[in-house]
Amino acid sequence: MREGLLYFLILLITPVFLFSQSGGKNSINLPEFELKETGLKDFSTTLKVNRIDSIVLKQNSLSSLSEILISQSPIFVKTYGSGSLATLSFRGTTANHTGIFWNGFSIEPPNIGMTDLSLIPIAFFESIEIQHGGSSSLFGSGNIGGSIHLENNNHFDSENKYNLALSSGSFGSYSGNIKVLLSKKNWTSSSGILVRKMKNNFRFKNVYEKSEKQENAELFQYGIYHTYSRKIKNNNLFTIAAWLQFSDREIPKTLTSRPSIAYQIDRAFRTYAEWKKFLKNGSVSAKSAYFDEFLHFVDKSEKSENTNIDSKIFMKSFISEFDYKKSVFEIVNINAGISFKTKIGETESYHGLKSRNEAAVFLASVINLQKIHWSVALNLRQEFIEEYDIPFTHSIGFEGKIWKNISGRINISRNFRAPTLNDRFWIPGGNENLKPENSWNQEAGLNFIFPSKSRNHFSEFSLTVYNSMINDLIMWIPNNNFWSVNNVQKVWARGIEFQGKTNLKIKEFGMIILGAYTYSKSTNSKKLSESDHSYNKQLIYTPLHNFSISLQLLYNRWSIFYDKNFVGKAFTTKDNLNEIPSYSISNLSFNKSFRLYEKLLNLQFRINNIFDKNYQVIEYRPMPGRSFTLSINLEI
Amino acid sequence: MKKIDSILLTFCLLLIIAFQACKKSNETSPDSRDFSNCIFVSNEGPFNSGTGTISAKSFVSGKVEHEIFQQVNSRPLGNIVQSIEVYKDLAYIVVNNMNKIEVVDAKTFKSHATINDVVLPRYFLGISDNKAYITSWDNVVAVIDLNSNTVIKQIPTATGPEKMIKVNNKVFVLNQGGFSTDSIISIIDCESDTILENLIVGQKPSGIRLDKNNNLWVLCSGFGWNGMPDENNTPGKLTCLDIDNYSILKEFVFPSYENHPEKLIINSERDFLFYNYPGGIFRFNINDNELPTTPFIQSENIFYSIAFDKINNRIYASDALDFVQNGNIFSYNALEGSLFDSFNVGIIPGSIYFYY
Repeated sequence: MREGLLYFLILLITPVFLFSQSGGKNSINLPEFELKETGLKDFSTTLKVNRIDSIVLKQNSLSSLSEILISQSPIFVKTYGSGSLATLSFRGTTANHTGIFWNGFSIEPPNIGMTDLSLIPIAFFESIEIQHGGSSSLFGSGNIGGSIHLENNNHFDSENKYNLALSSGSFGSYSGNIKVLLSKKNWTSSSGILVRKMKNNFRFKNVYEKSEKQENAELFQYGIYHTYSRKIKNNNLFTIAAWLQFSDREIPKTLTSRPSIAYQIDRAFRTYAEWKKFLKNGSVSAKSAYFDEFLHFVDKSEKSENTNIDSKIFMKSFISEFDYKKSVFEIVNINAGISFKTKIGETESYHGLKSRNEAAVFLASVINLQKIHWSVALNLRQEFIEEYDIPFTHSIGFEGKIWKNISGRINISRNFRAPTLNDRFWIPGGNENLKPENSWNQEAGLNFIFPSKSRNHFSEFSLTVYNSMINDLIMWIPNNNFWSVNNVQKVWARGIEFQGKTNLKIKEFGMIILGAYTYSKSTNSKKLSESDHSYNKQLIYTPLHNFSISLQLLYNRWSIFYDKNFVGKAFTTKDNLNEIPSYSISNLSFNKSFRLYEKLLNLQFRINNIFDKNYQVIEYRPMPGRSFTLSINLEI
Repeated sequence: MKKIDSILLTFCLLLIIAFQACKKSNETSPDSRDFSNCIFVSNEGPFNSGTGTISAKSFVSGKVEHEIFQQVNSRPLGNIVQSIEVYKDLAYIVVNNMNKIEVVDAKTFKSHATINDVVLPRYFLGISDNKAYITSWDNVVAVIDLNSNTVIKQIPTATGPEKMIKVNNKVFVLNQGGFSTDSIISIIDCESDTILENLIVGQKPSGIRLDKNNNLWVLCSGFGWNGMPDENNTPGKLTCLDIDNYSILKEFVFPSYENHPEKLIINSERDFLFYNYPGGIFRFNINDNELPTTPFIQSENIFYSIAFDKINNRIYASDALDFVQNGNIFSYNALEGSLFDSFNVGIIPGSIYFYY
């Protein structure tokens, strides 16, 4: 960690050094090139991508990624409690099947390969995009259900912005965020600090139907973020970024267990540097990232040594990527590149330090047939991972106009997920003979757009059906004494996604309605033994129905946000004999913005779980009832 | 505007459909039940946040009932139900991860009392009319006053005390080591509730039985796990001890370092021992001079728990399958080893008790 901190300091100082230079005599006049682009936008044209509304991001800037996904998307978020671990089940897949990317770098920790979304503050990102469906051929291992992309944009030559947000709410929750965006002709920087504290001492009904106060559920988090970009002559762009995230949280007991005094510390330091040169019809870039993560779990409930747990894990990842983008005759866009990764993990259960090298070569291409309004995407990627035979991943997709306002989409892809370091090295139970999971994904969708002549309202609907078969699913299964991992299952995930959006504007009045429904059927397609009752049964904690609706009403400087999230019943055992009931949670917020001496002040009053529903996402883990939050946001 | 109306209508319709999907059902439980003449199976329940359950199969009607504690008392038992034992017509259900023992009337299963403050309790053993012992992973045996159902004394043991057996005025406590390994039998004088001696045996003592000659048989699993061979593994041992001076009368060392025997039961005549070992359930005559090499009852899976039905002369074995779905119980004829019956129980069936 010491090197990490040092690096971080250097990163913090570098911009200052560069700032002082930029004040110099010869500012360079660069020809105007589109400086912002991502792999996602250019090469995912045929895929289904949703972007979380920027107003929503702004109004909820103190939330975590898990909270935003619960209220704004129909993806099932498996959350263990307020501020506790939160993972995703996207398109009926498991938590390991959704990749999380920060400006193009995958941030899953090497040990378990799944990111805790409750530890990601949205304040640090300007755009959050949700890509549905298999995309290993674009993004590599693990992107079977979909992927989530956290992006920062460059703002050259615009205004400096200073932002302060503070909030206070029920159950002892406080948070604050400062953001500074500096923008000059040739350089731009964005920095932020976020602090969050929650007592989480809400009341819930215990198994005796009596009211009880939640204990040992405190949370303290902070994050620091900094990014700096600079244009250098001859169309070069240089970017460095660093992000430190710290969390110390207590792990509360469940309704069916003894009181807990366990706690967990998570610390992640992520940084990267990128150089990019813009060419006439494309670009070439080189980037390197270093991620350093630390997790410490302590449970010392008993005085005896043999039942206490004190587990530490240290992880490091080094990533380097070179890529080349080129647009040929404005019809074909290609992106070719190579990437290298080293993942390191160290914990007592690995009996020391273990590492793994990975490499990838990829070629992505999109052909835009503008005359007939169709695009074709063809992506190829081969990864090389030490000790594993990785399947060649490829995908083909078509997207374009069918008739009038109706467009269509078809994608077929081959995807995979490599075993994690835990799967390989954990003692006992880790398995050196694991194979990577592999899947075939297919999807087809229709889009309907109803534009209006006045441009004051328009509606958009989309309907998607998907189908995927995941083979050699890696699972940890207990035997009589310990858990061990194997390629045991085969999962058939299929479903329907419906989504609609309506915008309406009449004079000072505006309204946005967003609705989404998903039906995800995911079943075990392999009988593990004669008496296995999980065959053809739905995966646990994978609700069939998920429905969310959000409504924004805007009038003058007033706005009201309402969202409702319905999650259907989910099974808690593989034979589908036990289930957890469905629930629906509604949130409401009132916003008023003021203009004070040219400055914008926004006030928000938010009610979470307005109907005070008593519900559980994971069996016997209580969730908070109604709560209130007041926040102010000052923008200069 | 019409278009907008129809769009709004679609949303409302969707809302209604979504809420229709959310229905609740409540099962009503009969007022009084009779669970006498039953096989009780305690199911640990799913790990992490689940609840354990008790299944009961009637010897008379053959009917299997599930979640009987929850049905009668309208609340879950709690996380990891370790064991069930009936003593003086009260059933003691040990709930490991909730630090408690639920005491119910064994006939009706109505809650009678709750014994709290036993840290990570494992097994219950009735000592006298007023007293019982409960092993605790706090490395003690908790002495319980059965009138007040409270802990009156804690007897320190070695690491991770598990199963106990009472012979005359002595209680033998197996210390398996909890998350690590131990190899000690703590011998307690149950009049004075004090430790008489700490006897060193093989690693991980996991079963103890008294044979017809009044000799003690101790099964030690050895260090390591089945299916996970490692250099540090040690082989299991079956040891016969003299009840008075604890001298070793006979000892058999298992030939493999990789395979570890577990659980030990004895038949009603107390001349045949049965234990779990990769391959199935093995049978050993107390007069044999070597360990059996072929299983008495063959099985691919290692059974999670085994028990002996002394009245009907049957061996009961539980299969936890993949530990995330309901398990099964198989019963076998104890003379021939042929399958007699099988039935479905709850998640991770861990302990079997015959309430005749």
